Amino acid sequence: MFNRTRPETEHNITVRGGTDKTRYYASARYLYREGLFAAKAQDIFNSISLRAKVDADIASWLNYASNVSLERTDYDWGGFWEMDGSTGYVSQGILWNVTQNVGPNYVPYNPDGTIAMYPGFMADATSPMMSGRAGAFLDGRSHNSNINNYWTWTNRLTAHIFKGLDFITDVTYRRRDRRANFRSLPTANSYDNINKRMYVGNGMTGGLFTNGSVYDFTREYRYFQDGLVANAYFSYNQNFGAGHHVAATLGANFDDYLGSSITIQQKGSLSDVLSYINMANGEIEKASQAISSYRTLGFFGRVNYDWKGRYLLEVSGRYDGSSRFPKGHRWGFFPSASAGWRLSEESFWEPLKAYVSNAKIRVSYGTLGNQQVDNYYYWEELKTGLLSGYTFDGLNNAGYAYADAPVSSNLTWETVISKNIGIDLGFLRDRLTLNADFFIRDTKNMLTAGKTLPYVYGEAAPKENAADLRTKGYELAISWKDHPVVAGQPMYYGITATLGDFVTHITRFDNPSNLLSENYVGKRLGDIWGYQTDGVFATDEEAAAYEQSIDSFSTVNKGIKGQVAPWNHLMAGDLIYKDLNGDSKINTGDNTLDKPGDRTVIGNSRPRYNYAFKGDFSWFGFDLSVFFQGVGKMDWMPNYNCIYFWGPYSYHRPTFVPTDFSEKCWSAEPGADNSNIIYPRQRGRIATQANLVTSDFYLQSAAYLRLKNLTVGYTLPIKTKVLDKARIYFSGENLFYLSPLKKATKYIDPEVATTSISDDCTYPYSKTFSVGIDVTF
Amino acid sequence: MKKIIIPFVLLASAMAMSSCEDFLTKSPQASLSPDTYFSSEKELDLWANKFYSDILPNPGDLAELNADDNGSSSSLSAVQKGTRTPSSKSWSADTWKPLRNINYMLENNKCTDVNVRNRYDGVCYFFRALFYFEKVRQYGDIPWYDHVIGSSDTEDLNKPRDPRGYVMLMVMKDLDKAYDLLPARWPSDAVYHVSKDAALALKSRAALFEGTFRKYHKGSVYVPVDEQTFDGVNISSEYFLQQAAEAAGKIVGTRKLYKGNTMKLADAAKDASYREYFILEDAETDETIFARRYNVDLKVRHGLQFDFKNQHRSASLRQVNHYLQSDGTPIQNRAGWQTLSYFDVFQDRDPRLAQTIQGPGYLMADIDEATKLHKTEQLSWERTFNGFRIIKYISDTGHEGATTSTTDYPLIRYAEVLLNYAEAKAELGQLTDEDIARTINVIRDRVGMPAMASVPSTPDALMESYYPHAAGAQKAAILEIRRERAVELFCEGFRQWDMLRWGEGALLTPKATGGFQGIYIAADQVGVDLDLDKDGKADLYLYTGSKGSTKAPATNQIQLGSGFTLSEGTSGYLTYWAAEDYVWNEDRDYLWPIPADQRTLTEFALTQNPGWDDGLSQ
Repeated sequence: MFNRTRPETEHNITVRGGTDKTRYYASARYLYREGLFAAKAQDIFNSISLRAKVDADIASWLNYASNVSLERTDYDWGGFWEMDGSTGYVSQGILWNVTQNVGPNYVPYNPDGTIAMYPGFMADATSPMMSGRAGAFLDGRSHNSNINNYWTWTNRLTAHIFKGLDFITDVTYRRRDRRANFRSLPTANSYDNINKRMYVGNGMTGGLFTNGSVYDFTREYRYFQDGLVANAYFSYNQNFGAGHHVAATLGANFDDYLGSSITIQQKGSLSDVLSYINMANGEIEKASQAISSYRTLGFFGRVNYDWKGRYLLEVSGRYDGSSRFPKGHRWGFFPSASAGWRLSEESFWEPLKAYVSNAKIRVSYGTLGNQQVDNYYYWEELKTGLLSGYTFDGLNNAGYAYADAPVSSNLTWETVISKNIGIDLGFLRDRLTLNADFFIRDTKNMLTAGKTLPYVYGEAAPKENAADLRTKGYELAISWKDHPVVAGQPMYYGITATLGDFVTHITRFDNPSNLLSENYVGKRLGDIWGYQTDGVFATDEEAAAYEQSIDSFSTVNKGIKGQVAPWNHLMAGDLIYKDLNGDSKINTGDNTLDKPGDRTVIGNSRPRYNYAFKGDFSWFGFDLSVFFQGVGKMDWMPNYNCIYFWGPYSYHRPTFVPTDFSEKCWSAEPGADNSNIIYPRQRGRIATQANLVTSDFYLQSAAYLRLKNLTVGYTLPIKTKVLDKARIYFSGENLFYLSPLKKATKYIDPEVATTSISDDCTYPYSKTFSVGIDVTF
Repeated sequence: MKKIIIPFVLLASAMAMSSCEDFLTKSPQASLSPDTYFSSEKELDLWANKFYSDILPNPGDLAELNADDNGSSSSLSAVQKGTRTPSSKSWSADTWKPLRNINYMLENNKCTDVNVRNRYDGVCYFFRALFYFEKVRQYGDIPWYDHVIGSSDTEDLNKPRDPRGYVMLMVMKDLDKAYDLLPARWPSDAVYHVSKDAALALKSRAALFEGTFRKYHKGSVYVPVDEQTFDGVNISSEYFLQQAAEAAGKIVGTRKLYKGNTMKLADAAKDASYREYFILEDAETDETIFARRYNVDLKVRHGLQFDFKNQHRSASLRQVNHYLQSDGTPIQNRAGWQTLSYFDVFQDRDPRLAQTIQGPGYLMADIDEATKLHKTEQLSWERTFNGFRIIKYISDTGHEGATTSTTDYPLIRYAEVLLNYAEAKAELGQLTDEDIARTINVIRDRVGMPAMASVPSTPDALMESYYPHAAGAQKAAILEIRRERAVELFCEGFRQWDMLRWGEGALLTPKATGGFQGIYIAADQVGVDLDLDKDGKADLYLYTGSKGSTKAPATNQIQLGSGFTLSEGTSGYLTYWAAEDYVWNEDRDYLWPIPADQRTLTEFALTQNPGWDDGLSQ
């Protein structure tokens, strides 16, 4: 059902030129990419981008510039309508959607080519594979498309008032149109509903499969977005006397946005090929509209001063207002300042200059406003609709009205305050450079859900400026680069290594009892609370003794308790949860920091020690570049719906069980080596949503080192009147990675595992190989 | 050049100084504002409609209410299996949201037409009472809120549980207000709206629950003290029983039971109208006080028949034994009553038996196109697991799909009010012959059962064994009223709660009653074809070991051993749940546990119910 490879091609062309008064630039790009879906559901992504720029000197003091761009993307896919591969993730993810419930022993097609139906065996009582979704995949009559057009037009007028002072205004108009349509058709299959036969034969289809989300309809979705961004500011830049340099800006900025969407869905598609509302003649199931808008206004100013590049000073500030906050809380002032000192420019540095060619110290203090809440967040909206399940008069569905969840009335800007100290050093004529930065970032009044409220409140807790965070970290970079002449040809090579790390703690949150179910002061972001284990029981007797003395069935082992006798008891190979607080019960206690029961912090899901290596080399027209990137420390607790990790432990009909899976499970075979197991005793469904227990036994290290990119190129030694330059290259992305996670599974990429939105390890990273040619005329 | 710049500067400073605040106001364009809402009748109506859909049960809930009288072969309830835990999710923001919505409307109702305003306040009071009655029924003590809680109102959020007596007193007061404010009849679709009678009927239901719960749990961990004073009112089991009798008494005699026979499911109305009442597409309006509407055209549908079929929902022999013989005498007066065959069970019984459980000669609601007569249907083990298939609510097969039932669902009917009245009076020891004539005999009259001449004085031995905790000066009457209630209100969502309030919770577990025992099978009836309904066709073939030759339908060839068993091993009552071994915990199981996370969130202001260990330190 899936393709192993995804071919793609990309073409770029650029033209530029002009006179002293007028300059132009135009470019075009085309991208074609086939997706993972195979068979009749093949997904194809097309993208075209066009850009044209022109600027002209209207008068000696006035310049006009225009920049127009258009991008069109077009994504087409067959099969189940919600499985939109362009986002890679809808509901439960595309791979899960198609492969759940499809055992390797189920054949998708009958011998005559019709789609097989499995009565009474699947999630739905009678369905083609996987509740009809895989069926829709194979059937191919269901088809969907998503087309986006993005327009941007920027006009800029620059007036030179006098030497050093400019006045600049620019207005950008942005528009986005989206049109998506979905044709969902029930899957034709060979099940004969009347005679209850699974296989009709002779290419005949017996019935149509429908269920809650797979049925006959056509849906059209239209969206448009209008945006206007304007800036007007003075810019001043002047040198004075002996090395004084001053630059300043002062201006205003305005942003206005409106987005609106309409959805129509009608039943009864008349066509297997066309997806238009006119091609449907059934009931209109859905007709809805949404409108959203915001507006911001800001004033900003900045003054820079430096003397001979030796002493540098900058002071700036923004005063921003946003429609997302209620009256009286709309405006925020965000000042910043920084200073630098290049010691290596001082006279006392002269003796050192031969060794330390550059030395600079930087300090800065900056504030930034953040308004990440929904557009109408502070409005308590009252909405109306129809109750699908209630009627009074038998003629119409009953209408209803409801109010949005209550909101905090004093919502305002979140402020990020950064303090930074840095040093830049250059040695041996700047061939060796070292940059180091240490920073503290305080997030004040973070916009987040406030304290968890008891359910008697009857609504979700409102978002407030509820929390403060402090992040501390550093970034280091060291590089060596040189360009010697070797064998009469200039050579260039350079290597750079970087390392960065930061940790974030919560410094304010309204949680007086320090409940672990919400944030608490002192919590490090990413901390994973879980149980500690002592490996697995070696014998049934050991397990029975544990079961006698420690109560674990109402919590961590409830999945085992719920199994059929005699397997509803602890046995050899089951996990030994440690009773940390010695109360003979394994539980979460009060679930507070003081009384956490038997849980403790077993790991942290945030990446630590981000590092990278980059190397470039060129000589004789050849060029080579490599880029490695990695994370030094990161823990990952697989989520229950990551069935590629859990297999039958989580889901009882997994479709994907690696051939070496059982080697990683505890084995009851006499003499089996159980010292390196990843999974405990084989028991179905102990890692389901209801049963999975976070413990150090399951915790995986997701540290990794990845070869992100390798490029080899050769510039042909040709130069003619027409042809300026021609280069051919080969490039490979994501060529390999090293990770301790490979010990558990080589099918889950550590980076995908830890960033996947739905925790189900959705769309895998692709290895990309490309071959290309750059020609300049 | 300066001419160009100056307007820009002016514009920028004008925006900055004069009206930045208003300039940055962007209001939602596709919604209404709460400030101006709640002024017109239409607005109040829309808001109140959500109470109906959020709070009222739907027929599907009946398919989850296993008790001792009926059960499913697919699963038992958590109460019966002992699997309720303090982490259960039946207490969520969503379950408390309806209360917030009710109080929100009470606080914001600003309709200037006083009649309209009052009417909708009445709706609010009705639903708040229903909300709290159901909470008390499940959790006992519960915090009472008569206003919207603010997100920073810690005192409210961490409010300790109010005593159940206080909350039920508030429920009584709300229902009194609802009775005052609600109309007797709504101008249109009256039976689908809450009315004065609905308020009275709910009051009798809630007060009877609290009165009997207090009476039968007095002195236990659940009701340590019966007599208490709240807001100057002395409450007790007697107080609530009086409230129940008084509220029901206002309705007794004002309505009629349904006696129609339009579908001709039997010749005589007495053999048909009880069954017909529950499969009417549109609720009738004399007996029905309040109903939930379903409609085929709007696709407002339910799946009760589908659930019943899927679950093989069946009545227990215990339930069947409640039905009197047609002469008004109890079944144990008949010789060999404990080993009656399926056929004999249905002979000369209260006509409601064959209108509730599929008996010999059962006619489907479906009409045969050719003969224009009702179709017959063979008893099928695809629809029962013990032989006593429930046919109450079952209309024609066109309505037995997962979501294709469209029969209206009676939520409150007159017969319940009559039974509430009689029971409250009997529990108070004040039941008179005249009371019986106005209540029990009215119900019996519909089905042609002989009237009860006077208040009974000798307790029926079988009923006494079924309700060992029944007590009071009029115990014999109490037992007969319980029999009548079990028969008349079978499978209407009352049984589990009745058993809990009567202190008979232990009998809800399958272990205590033999696990939904069904039809009697003699030892020589195993391994041979059985013609249960004596129509000449083989209906059932039970066997152990390997299957012999049989003419019974494939679905009715049942292997005994695992799953299906006979109560005495080689003979006895056919059942499916004999292996269930949960034993009732008398000091814990009458109430549900308070969720542990809510207790920690409220800093232990919410205490745990007796007997439940949630692992918390307080």
